[in-house]
Amino acid sequence: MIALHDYDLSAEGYAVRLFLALLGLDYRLLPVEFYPAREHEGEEFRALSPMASLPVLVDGDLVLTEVAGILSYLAARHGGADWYPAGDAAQLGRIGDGLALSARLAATAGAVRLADGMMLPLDGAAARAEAKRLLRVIDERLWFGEAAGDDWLCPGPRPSIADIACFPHIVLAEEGDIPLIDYPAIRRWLDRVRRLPGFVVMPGVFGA
Amino acid sequence: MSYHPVASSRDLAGRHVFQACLLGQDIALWRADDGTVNAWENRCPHRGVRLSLGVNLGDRLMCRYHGWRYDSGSGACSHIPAHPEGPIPATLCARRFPVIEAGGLVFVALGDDTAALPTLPETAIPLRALPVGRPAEAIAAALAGAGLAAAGPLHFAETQGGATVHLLIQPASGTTCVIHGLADMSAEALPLQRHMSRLMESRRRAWEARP
Repeated sequence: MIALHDYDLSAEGYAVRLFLALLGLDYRLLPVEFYPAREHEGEEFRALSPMASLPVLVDGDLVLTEVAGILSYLAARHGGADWYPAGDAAQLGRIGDGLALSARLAATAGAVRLADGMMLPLDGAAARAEAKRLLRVIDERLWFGEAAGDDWLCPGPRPSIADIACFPHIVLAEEGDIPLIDYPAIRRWLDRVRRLPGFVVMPGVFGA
Repeated sequence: MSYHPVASSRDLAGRHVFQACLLGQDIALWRADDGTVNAWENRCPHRGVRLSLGVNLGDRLMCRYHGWRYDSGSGACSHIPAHPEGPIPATLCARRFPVIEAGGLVFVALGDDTAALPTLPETAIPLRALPVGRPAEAIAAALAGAGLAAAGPLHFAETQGGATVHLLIQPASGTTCVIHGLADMSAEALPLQRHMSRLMESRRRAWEARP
């Protein structure tokens, strides 16, 4: 059975929990106290993951330590054509772009949320400014997507793991004092993600 | 207080709650399933939670915090989950603002003044609205300075891609505004919408780069 080492307030961990729920997969949750104990930096956890970051997914001998890798694996292994368009090179490229975008969000909106909540050192103003730049780009993309009849970050009738990876950092952005009022297309997209069958919440995230 | 644009009709998607800010007043905007547009103070009368975090139930808006429900149109509270049988005072009501949908945009006035709307083209297509981190007056001055024709203090027009484009400035907070665009055309709108989005993004970068 899949095991997930995770912390319940982790946005990255939530992306994985959300995708596991959307896929209807059972898994074993192994809580790691990120704050205040910082268990992920202990020797025991480093033996599993030298990255000392959360979440970590273990499936048999496979150990994955980044959201992009975990979601890609789960999509390819369990998601079928709906979540892994194996023959569509352009779409796979777009999904890869979207996963990288989620990492940029994690480093900005995600980091400032953690820094505020857990008193970690960070240049908050710089992180918020870059998050705002990213959100403006995403809002424009989604606005024109809507105009073309597309609901998701990558064109097409179905959401992709790019949506799942980006959603937690955006829906939780206001916890890092990044208001979402200026991104109406993003706010509508958040509603659409919330309405996906199997959607689950985390602290700070409401359902549809 | 006169009417100001706060959203495009398209922004009020089904079962969505749109958040706007007009002259420092936070507003929850939502369209009921029957088409009625509601513009309410973004604050639950019960505990003050933002109604834009709530749920659009189609005919009522439900606050996230304690599930109090407010009717479309009247704004009257019609359900309190903790007191399902209890009488609800008639005064318990979301604070409503006058709202008019016209020319593809949604206009709100903060007072009861029924001042006329800006004169708008009949066949106009809304462009993507652009929030700017500068006060409305500064952007009006910048557009006037760039040679756009002024049709009102916060209303400008220019020709782009063979169409007349109206730019209406929503004074959001004291330091921010939103520019709503209307293109007077009935042809295929997407190329002009893309062109205007890029042009306005470019203008915004220049405006926001200035101290």
